[in-house]
Amino acid sequence: MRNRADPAGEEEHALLLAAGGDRAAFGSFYRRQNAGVVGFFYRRTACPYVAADLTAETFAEALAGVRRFSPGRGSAKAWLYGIAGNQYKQWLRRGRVASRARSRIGLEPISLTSDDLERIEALVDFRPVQAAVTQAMLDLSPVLREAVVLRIANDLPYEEVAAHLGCTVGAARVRVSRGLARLQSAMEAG
Amino acid sequence: MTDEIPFLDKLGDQLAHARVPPARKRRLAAGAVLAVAIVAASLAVQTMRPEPASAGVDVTRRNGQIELRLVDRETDADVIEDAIRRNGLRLQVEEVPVPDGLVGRFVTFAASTNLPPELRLLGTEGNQSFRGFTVPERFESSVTLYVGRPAKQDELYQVPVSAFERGEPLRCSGLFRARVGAALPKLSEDDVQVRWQTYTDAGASRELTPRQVRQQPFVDYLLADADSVGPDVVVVLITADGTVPFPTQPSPPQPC
Repeated sequence: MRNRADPAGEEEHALLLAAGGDRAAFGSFYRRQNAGVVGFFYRRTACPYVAADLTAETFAEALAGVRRFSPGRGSAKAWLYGIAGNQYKQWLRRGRVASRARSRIGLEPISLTSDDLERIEALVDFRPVQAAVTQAMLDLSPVLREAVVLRIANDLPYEEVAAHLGCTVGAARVRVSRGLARLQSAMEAG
Repeated sequence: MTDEIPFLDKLGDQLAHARVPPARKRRLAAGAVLAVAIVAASLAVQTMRPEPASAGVDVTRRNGQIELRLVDRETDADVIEDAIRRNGLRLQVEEVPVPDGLVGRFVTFAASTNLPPELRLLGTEGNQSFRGFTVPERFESSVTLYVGRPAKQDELYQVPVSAFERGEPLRCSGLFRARVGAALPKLSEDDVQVRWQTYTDAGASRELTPRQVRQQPFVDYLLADADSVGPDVVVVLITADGTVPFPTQPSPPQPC
């Protein structure tokens, strides 16, 4: 018999009950995990709207597929964050949040209030990240920094970046690519 | 924790009343039998006649090159990717929301390095979209092609276009280089969401509120450019003299 005092076992138990049709058990699982999932997405997307959408799709997918959960293959939390990770990758790849699971179980879109936005933003403190990005940008050579600013911050097409830099479009692409690669290395090292 | 973020309570309520589909074991079993039958039938058909071209995609092989052209605006990414794979290539295809004029065209690409020189774009237009491409039969670079699909009402376009182009909200509006004060009544008549931008002296873009553009000095600025960034969402760029601080100025709209 499961030890209900064990928090890890409690989540698996809740999902097994939910798989048998106990909607209240899924509700308890949802309430314990939802803020963590919002934070997971907000840390990665830095956008409260996307984080909220991804959270809704993740829990919709979890509810629709709860019968697939098997405690023998990992914890409930790992299963949930596996779904979350897949949603996040799909968002990166396709540039939009999937809505298939929400449509399948009939969830309506949820609009966020200013209160929601404030509270989601309070989940993660991005100031250290901003400081690290600023420092990494300052560490770039002026040529690469300008290329990155023109393309990423000013969102200019490569043709205009090239015109600004006085180089070919191909060279502009290389500079932006190298600048981003160095930023990535600096962020990973830091 | 739920009490802290109101939308999570609403989501929880919806989940509590969601209609969860019943278990599908039997259906899956029946579906598996059906799938096997379909695959068997397809294999039988393929042994009897040449491989049919995917609808909406025209693929030809010539002199060691594979040429792929989109011939139907409504071809989706799976069909294109299927046609690509059938010809032994490993290119990825993703759909992205675009303005109507770019639906059914490749709008951009992403490669792990620069655009491989063996990949040649076909049917390119001024907006950098293209209708197809040729690659050598043994092309092995990793490239993702993005094909345009209609945007949903709340989506932003992956590739903005001039708001003065055919099919876009400011086409034939006569507002290119118009004074902001003169453009405001026209823009407020239309069912278009307008976002205003200008440039600071340092060359950085700056958002303006509708209230700000009604006041000096912005009300006397000129419309330098406008982009459609989503269905009925237009970013209007205004500057003091109607030019943009880049070497290349926006082209005047085509005559109506």
